[in-house]
Amino acid sequence: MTKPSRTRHDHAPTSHAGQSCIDLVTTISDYLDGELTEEHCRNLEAHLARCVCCGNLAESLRRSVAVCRASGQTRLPADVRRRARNRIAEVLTGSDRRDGRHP
Amino acid sequence: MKRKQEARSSPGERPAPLVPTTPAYGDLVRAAAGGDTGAMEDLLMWAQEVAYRFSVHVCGGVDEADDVMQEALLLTFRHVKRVRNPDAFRPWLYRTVRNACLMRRRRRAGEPMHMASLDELIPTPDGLMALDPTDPGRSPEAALVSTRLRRRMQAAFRSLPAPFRLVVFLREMEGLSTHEVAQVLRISNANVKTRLHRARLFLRQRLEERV
Repeated sequence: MTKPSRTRHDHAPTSHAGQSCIDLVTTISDYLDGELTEEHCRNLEAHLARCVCCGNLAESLRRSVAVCRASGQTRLPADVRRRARNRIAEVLTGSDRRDGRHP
Repeated sequence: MKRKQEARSSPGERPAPLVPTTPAYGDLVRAAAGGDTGAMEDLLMWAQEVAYRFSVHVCGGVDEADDVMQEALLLTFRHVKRVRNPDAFRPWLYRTVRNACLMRRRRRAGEPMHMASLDELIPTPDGLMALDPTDPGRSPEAALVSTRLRRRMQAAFRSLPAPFRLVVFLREMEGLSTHEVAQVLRISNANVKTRLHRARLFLRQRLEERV
């Protein structure tokens, strides 16, 4: 099992406006999550527009995040849900008895 | 100043941020604590759903999911009546479920671990499935994700080291905010972001190399 690399990049670092690809690539996650400041957003977008490698990286990251999120969208199977409902009924009924609502 | 990116309306504009939508759990907790039986039932079902998903995706213990669900149910039922900050309930629940899973894993240390395969999580024409992804509330984007792609993602997800897998599960699959993940794992927001970014690069690389 390999640990995820810290700032692994697929191409040699280049520089735009004093900032290298490696500097900017670390902010892509924040960008995708809408958590960058306006200024950082503009800087990164300008870089992504110029740098094909970083642009592709941002787009493929966006895709993989979307797949990951979709993969996690699941519901309980019917038998598990039935057992869950039974447990809830037991707990609530027991609570009512303790509270004296049901003699 | 932090900003929210606007939804993309035409090509060339800034893409919409990947912000997960989260129901108002704080309101549900307030209603349940206030004696609303329906809200309590919803809350207890939600707690068990979280416990089930956590067992399956993170602990890999489908067999023990029922036990973890039971524990989550009872602890939630006791906790909700004395909760001070309903909005902090969500991190509390995930922390509780995580602890329950870890305790059970320690108890069965040495036993072979059963990791749920995606084949168990995806409906098949003739077979049973552990999870039912045919959720009517599923987004169109989710519906477009093919079984093959899900398998590749699961393989990539499972190959993540545990600390990274946890962050991905909580943030991406469960939709917790960065701050909530930090509360669950008791690490800094910056640490959550760093782990998430590295995990995303890792998952993306694994997905791309398998195409």
